[in-house]
Amino acid sequence: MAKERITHSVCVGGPLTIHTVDGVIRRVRPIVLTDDDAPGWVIKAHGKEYTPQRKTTLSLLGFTEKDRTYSYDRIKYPMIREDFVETPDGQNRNTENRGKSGYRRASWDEALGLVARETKRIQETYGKEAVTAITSSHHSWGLCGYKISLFKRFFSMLGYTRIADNPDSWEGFHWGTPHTYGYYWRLGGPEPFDMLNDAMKNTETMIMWSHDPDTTRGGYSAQETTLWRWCLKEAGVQFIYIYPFNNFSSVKQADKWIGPRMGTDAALCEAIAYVWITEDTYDKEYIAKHGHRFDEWRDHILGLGPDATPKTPKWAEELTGVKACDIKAIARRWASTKTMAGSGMRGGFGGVCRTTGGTDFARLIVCLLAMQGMGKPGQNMWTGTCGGPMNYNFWFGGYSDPLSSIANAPIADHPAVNEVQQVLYRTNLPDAVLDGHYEWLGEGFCGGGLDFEFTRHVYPMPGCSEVHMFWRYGGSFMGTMLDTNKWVKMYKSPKLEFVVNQDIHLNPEGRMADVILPACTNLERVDIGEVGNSGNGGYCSHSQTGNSWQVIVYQDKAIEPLWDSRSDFWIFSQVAARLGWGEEFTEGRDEEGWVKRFYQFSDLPKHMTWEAFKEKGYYIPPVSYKEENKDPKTGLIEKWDEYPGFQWFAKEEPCNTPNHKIFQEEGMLGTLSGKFEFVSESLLYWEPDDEIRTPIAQYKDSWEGHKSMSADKFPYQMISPHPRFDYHTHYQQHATWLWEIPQNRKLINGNPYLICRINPVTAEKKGIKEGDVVKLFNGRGAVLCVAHVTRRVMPETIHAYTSSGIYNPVKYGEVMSVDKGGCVNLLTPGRLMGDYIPAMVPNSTNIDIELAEADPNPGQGFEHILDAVDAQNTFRVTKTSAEADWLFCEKEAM
Amino acid sequence: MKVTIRTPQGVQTLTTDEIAARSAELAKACPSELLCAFRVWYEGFEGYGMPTRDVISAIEQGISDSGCWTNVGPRRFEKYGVVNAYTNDNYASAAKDKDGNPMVLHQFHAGAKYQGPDGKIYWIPVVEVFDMRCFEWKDGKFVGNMVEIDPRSDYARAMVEVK
Repeated sequence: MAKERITHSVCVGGPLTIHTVDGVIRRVRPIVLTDDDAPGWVIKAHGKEYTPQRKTTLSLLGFTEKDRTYSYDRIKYPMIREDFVETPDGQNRNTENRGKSGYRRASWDEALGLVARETKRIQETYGKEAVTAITSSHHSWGLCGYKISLFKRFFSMLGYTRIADNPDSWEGFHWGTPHTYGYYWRLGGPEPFDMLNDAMKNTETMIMWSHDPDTTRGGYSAQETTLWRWCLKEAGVQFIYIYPFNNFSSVKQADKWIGPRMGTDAALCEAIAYVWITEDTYDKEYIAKHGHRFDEWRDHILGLGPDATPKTPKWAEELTGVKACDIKAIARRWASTKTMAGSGMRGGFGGVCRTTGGTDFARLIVCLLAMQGMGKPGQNMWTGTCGGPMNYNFWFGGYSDPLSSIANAPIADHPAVNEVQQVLYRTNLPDAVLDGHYEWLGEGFCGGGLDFEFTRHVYPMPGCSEVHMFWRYGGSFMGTMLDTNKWVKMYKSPKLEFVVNQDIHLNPEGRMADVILPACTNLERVDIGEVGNSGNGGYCSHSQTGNSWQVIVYQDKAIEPLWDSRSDFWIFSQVAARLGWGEEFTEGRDEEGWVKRFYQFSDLPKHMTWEAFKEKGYYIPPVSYKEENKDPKTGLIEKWDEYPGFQWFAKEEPCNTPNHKIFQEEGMLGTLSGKFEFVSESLLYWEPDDEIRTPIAQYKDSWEGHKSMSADKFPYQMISPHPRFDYHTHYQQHATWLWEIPQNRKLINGNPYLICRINPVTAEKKGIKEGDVVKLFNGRGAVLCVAHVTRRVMPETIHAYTSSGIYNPVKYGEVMSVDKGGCVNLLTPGRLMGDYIPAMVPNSTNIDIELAEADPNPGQGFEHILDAVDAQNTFRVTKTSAEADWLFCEKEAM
Repeated sequence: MKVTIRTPQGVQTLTTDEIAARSAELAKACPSELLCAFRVWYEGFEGYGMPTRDVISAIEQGISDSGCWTNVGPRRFEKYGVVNAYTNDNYASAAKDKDGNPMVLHQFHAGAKYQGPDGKIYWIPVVEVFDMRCFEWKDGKFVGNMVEIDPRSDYARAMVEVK
């Protein structure tokens, strides 16, 4: 009789219960709570009650974890590029063939030996800084195996040139709002604490600006908050969605959808302020207490400033395409009702902040919130994600907590310290490698202080070598970075003498490597992690409040690593051993030993023994409550310890929310003046001459937009928001059933073409019909997609999701080849937001569109590289379509 | 010397002595541990734009005159970068919340070691109103599990920073 085993894990799509039968994963599902799990909470408002169901939810991505494990594109064995030559000086290695050449299967011993020899050679020849490496975002979950933990430990001990991440999902807020309301330690994001309860009871209007919460799900919160927003709707809250694409949340929930021209949102904000000022409908008392230099800003809005232009709704109509009457209506609704507003998945995100005017918009929406008394009940910066009840007195680290990394003490007895000071910047890595020189401002993630935004960097650092070895770990930047043909060009450069790719799946960048190391999935190794907890290390802390339940999971191994794959821990340990410091790296612990350290160094031992935690697989701390606040009949908690975000400031009290600073305890914001700065003192202090990020936030014509020079040639604006069927190039490529969703992709000749959305006006003008293959193009590249003709996008806008994990050029390995994988980031500008703002702006992309022919071949992205291995009869991939690849893999696994 | 400054009260012409005197009052009232002229200017005067060199000098004179701040030379502020700074001589007793209790974040330096009344030494990496988590430090290494100490408890208030 088949024996079923149940284990648990976590992914960006939520917590998992995994059913394994005879060593084969049969299904994954959400966690269903048992009676001995924590009691639930209940919010009573407007005569209704809301309590979460006693189970967790999974996003559709979470449901593909089994498919990801048995995916057709798993890297099954170590592989070495077939024309790679291990020359003693690193030259003449046929680097121009990266991306074209096939691979041969290698043993682990051969592959690891080569990696260790090359690492030694390059560091001895050029210096430790000649090695660089970078992870993807979120290709795995778990405190031991996560990128800031295991990867950081290995490379810090090795010594390497770190590549600083840019805050690619919330650029405008990160580089903008700290100059208006502080919160640089939250990377520009707001305080969502206990906002759900506040909104349920007090809010009348929700303004969801550039926000598709059912798609972006608060980051890692599965579909938890979808239920919250339905309850808000049932409580009578009206929703206004603002974005050029009437997105998946908007179409089902919006009371009003408004579609401004992409990148003109700052003008819309200014016009709303104009209405409030001229109609005297803003909170003057609040502004008098908490605003700084409001009068000057008001003059600017009224046209009494240097530009002598009143920011009237009519003025904004010409820029945004939104009718003046609609602008007035939004303004009046906002001012006359208790309103929550924000942008993107946690209130301080959204596609609009990834335009050239991203910082202006982000700062202006904060100005608007201040004008209506931000922090008063029902009035805050919140977008219906995060802010659920949580026990703030229970401590378990998130992935960015310095305490939650095996690179740091006390998890490690001996912390890993990178002795190399040189850094690179992710957005412009190809420029730095190809040109041999790059300069920029800022630390990437600037949670450590406003001054971090203005530090100056030069590559190579004086006295340092350029990089000559690149170790890529998980995912593909072809689908998430800028003007990404540059990445293809970089990989072909002989300057990169050696390229390693360590990944679970054969991603597009994997096909550019000299050596490929197959890692296993979360489901094939042990780890520990809390659902949605990104930690306090410079991230928006307490992101786990996007879940109705706080779930800490023992991520048990469901199956043994498939094929020849190994855990990342094993791979790094083996290389470390070959480099002579294996024992120092592991400190004598195996993965289980490290995982137990995270358990020990948390509050878990007070509630569960290690053995009980492993046996049950998860722990759910209850919210902090007194027994008398528990309903004896239902067992639900009716009142708990609450600390609503930002209300302390409105009340002029010391901050009482978690994750704050000393000056907040003293009642002030993190700006220089401690108040809302309508004229930014920090920008006047640090970069007074910046013409992009001006002291007064205001609409400016984009350097790539509807008024820029390129608009003549490329008249459409492409928006590529965070994807619905992907997560930073993960999931979609590996779970082929996602391609069968008509809103996502369409299979033609074996290739899954990405759906792009165009307005009927555009379609008629270009002779395009529903389902036609079209080419999106500009001077930076061309991508074949399938057209979906819909009024859900504005006429001048073309919508295609970013983060394609599929990069499938018609001519593989050729720079500027037309791509049919849907990798629209090939088209985005490589230019950063401004000379002083190192932010990417993929939503300021001008393109044109034309009817095209489908390529007759499925493409090398699916077959070519694998065929080379197939020729050695090591494994077989028989299909490239969506048909039953998982069945094939499952059989093989069995 | 007369200087012109811009604040919410409008454009004013003051003497540097007047600025120094006002700065001394503001410095005395500041509960923080670290202070610099820019902080007095922006938070205290609510000044508009960058202060001139003369204004900065007058403010620094005022901080020195206040009698409760000691100049410690260049220090990094998260807002201003590395600037000439002063530490509060009365820091531990100066910081009180609205109810007169010591402010939690003023009591502890995250990442520092403290000794409790029972002689145990703890490293405190997490300090919040809600969470103070520590690790006992013994014989040059961490021992045992994570320890929770209520930051408002008598035990916590008796803890003393050790190097």
